[in-house]
Amino acid sequence: MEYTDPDDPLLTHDFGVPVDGCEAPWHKAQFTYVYNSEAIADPPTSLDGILEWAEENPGRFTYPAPPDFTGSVFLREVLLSTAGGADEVPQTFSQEAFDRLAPAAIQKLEELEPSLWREGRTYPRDEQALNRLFANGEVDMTMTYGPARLTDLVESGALPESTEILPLKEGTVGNASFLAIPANASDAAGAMVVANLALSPEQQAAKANPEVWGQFPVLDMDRLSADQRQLFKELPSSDVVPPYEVLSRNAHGELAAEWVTPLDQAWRQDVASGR
Amino acid sequence: MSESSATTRRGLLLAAPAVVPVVVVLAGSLGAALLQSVGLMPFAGPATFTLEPWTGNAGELARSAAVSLYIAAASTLLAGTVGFAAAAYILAMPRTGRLVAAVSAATIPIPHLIGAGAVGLLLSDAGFLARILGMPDGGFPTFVGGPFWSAVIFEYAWKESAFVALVIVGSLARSVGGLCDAAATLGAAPLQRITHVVLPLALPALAVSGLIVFVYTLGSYEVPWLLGRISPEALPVRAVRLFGSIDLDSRPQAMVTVLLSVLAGAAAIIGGLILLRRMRGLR
Repeated sequence: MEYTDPDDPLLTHDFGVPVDGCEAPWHKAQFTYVYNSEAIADPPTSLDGILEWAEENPGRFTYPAPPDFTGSVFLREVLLSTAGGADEVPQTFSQEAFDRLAPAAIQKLEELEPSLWREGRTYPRDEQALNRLFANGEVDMTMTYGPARLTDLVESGALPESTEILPLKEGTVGNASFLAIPANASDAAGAMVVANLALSPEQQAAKANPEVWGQFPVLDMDRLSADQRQLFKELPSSDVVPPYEVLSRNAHGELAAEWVTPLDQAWRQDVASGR
Repeated sequence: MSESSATTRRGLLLAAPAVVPVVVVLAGSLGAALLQSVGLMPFAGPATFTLEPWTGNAGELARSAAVSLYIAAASTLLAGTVGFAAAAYILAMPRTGRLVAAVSAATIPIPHLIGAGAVGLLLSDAGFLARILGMPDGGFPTFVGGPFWSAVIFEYAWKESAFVALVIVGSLARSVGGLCDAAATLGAAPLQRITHVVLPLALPALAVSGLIVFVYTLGSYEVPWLLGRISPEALPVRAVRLFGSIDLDSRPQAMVTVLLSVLAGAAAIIGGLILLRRMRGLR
């Protein structure tokens, strides 16, 4: 933990719950929108712009159905957008905040429905199904928590070559994955050694290599020695995915986990079964 | 007297190693599901009896049940019709019938998951059929995820018709040839031979296999999950979604959905058995 920044908001809270040293950070993820540059000449730069583009190009946009993780986070992003920004929504859940802010987001998605793929009568089951629609050219945009995989997918031909990341002016949500040790673990000491290994600069650099896994590191570059920093500088760059600093510009943290289920349920009741 | 009771006892002992584990597992799992659904076996927290999971989502449950029953009924009807037609062909034509029988036999070992994946690749908007017919850009009717669960019903009808055909052929093969010849000598046309000789003889096998297909499709998960719409969803899809939800409070609702599916299946079985007994009584 000596190489991580103790004030990094992505590492101090895990979906709204203070970490308090109960978990060890592993890697970071950034929710990213992806578009087909051949189909969209002038890409939007905000979530509002994306939804406007969807309405102007009916049938070319959709999102995975919650409770899929990616669909669920898209819901929360729309919530933040209709509320007026990430600062307007309290991170901790309260029924009062939900009743005040959620209806606008649900209404926005209901209004969007007729312009979606298949007019919103059904949605892709999960992120893989959405990626398949994108690869087949049925929609022009997709979204993912793991943009580093895109390099591999474009190289192997699974995604079209004109695939590009769509950075948003207001930023998107980012989070970190953690390693935890169960209370009844038979070898807690050994597990802690593994967790330390996972935090070592060598492991983090190897993991960040797009040819290996491409997961963003949790380490603070200022706390590394010059040699260790060199490991990260030598990582191959990708034509498709810009570096993490660009992707995570203006990133905001995740809402508390208690927000997830009520939003997903409201979506299923009002948006999915509406027609 | 003692001999028949000895035979009964021997029969029971022979069946016990198969029946006892089934009863234990079924009773245990259904009992646990029932307890969880009324809050008496919660994942966390104190056990409190409540009927809220049963009454709270009545509308959604009714919609899911309707979807499941519709898919099961449509699949059974189609599978029964196509299966009977295939069986009649197999019995009527000695050489080409054997080819149809081989194709049916080859269809049965394919798991439903693989079949559903194949049907998805075939019938989706940018799938094989759409590309052959030259219209990847819209215009292709929506089978996968469409409004009538057509891809789901197609997959079940395809796979189960092979099953129905083989059951009917197996139950009829010996008796039907002579009776059909007798009917022919009495002046029956081929269609009359099928409707007046083959169909009545095949009815018990058709009814039993139809009942099996109905109850199976009622509880089957993979096909409506892969090929169906997001909402409303079939009972098994809803149950799995709620069971795997990050919100542990959904667990009782998942159990309610599962038990509803079991009840529907049990009602179908009982109704089907009553109908079969009445059919046998009429003959």
